[in-house]
Amino acid sequence: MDNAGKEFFRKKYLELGGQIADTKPSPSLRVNTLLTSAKELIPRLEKLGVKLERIPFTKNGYYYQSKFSLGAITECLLGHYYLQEAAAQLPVEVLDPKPTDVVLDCCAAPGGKTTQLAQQMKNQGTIAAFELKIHRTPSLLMNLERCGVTNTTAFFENVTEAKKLGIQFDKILLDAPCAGNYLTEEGWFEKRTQEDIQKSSEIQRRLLTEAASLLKIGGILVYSTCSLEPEEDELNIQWAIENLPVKLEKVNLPIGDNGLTNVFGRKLNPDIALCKRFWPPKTEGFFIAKMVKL
Amino acid sequence: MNLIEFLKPFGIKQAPEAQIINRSYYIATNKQMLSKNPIYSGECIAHIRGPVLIPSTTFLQQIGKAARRHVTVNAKGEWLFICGRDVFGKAIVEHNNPIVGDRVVILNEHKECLGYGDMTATLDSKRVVIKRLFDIGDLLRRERKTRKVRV
Repeated sequence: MDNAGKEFFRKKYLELGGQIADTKPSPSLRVNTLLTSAKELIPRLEKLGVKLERIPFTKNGYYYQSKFSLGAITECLLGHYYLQEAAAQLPVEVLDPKPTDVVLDCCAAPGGKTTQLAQQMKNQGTIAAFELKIHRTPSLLMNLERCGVTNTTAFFENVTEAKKLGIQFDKILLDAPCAGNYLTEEGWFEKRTQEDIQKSSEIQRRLLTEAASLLKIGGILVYSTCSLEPEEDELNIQWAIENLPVKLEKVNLPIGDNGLTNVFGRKLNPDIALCKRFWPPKTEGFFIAKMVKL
Repeated sequence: MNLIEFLKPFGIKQAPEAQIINRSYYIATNKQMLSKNPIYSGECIAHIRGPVLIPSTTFLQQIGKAARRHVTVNAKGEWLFICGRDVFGKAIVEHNNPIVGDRVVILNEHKECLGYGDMTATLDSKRVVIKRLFDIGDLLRRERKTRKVRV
């Protein structure tokens, strides 16, 4: 196939200034400060033989090395931490929700970012979390419960139904369903084609339209994907600023490259450089854009 | 079974005022959201599972603090218990004199509640002394079961 496979994507990334990394980023976790503190948790995990290292560009993140799974021990079951990739901890930090905000989480399962929103809001304010896929809702509910989240109401519905709440949200997180990247899935290169990415991009544009309509004027929308494909990232943002009442704001992070403003010879709006793109292996592939509603 | 009946064997007389959403009890305060058929709202208290209730992890910690009878287990006993095993007498490092027939909460050495069970033998017994009824590992087993059903 000339629109899929490792060689196809290698050439594509090379043209964008990236390359395929051979190594994976270290696994990481986020301390859940709703239920514990780093001061309490870190010595406990170290006593079990877990090696931890602070992630300098996150508020509560740690890289870890462990000889056993950290997904089933007491501290995890009691919600003291959430296993979450370093870059995946960044969209919520960029959104920066406050304890007084009314926040919408558009595609919430499995709940990593929803629980992080609640954590950052100190379990105050209001979060409405929407998830459309039935097989993903049990993990969302379990993570909300496990992490002691009490300021969230979750709905098993498409986010298009959020308008029935009659709320104009202060802040919206759209961590969009995407094609993913080669570090998150075994055999990714063989499973994805350019057509899949195009389809995914169309869904993301519908979600962006919906999110923009639910945001109050002056409200903040953070759009993120764990995709390296510009069709799901910069090209969607170019489309958003051309078609929706939003403008871009700078994603203020000490890590990541600026968003691409030249994609396959097409010159994009220079403001797209305000977005952040993360090439592996320092983190997994990721993209974050921050918009304000006009 | 309602919350009052569920808490009675622990020696707890007062139950929180909670409402049922999607077969679980919640202390939910956001009325605007509640009218739109949510699947989770506010503080999760317990889940209805057939004829019994199982507590949320947060509510379990409250039960752990308020229950009449408790035992503390060592690290090995803790691991076996959260894997779904019963409690052996030799794993117990501290207790407040529960007797056979008591509903007992199981704490780890950090005094976190791991679950509960019923005393079936005296503490000096070499066999199982607490028959497990619920432990926090249930959360993972629930998730795996859901995945299995989906496949």
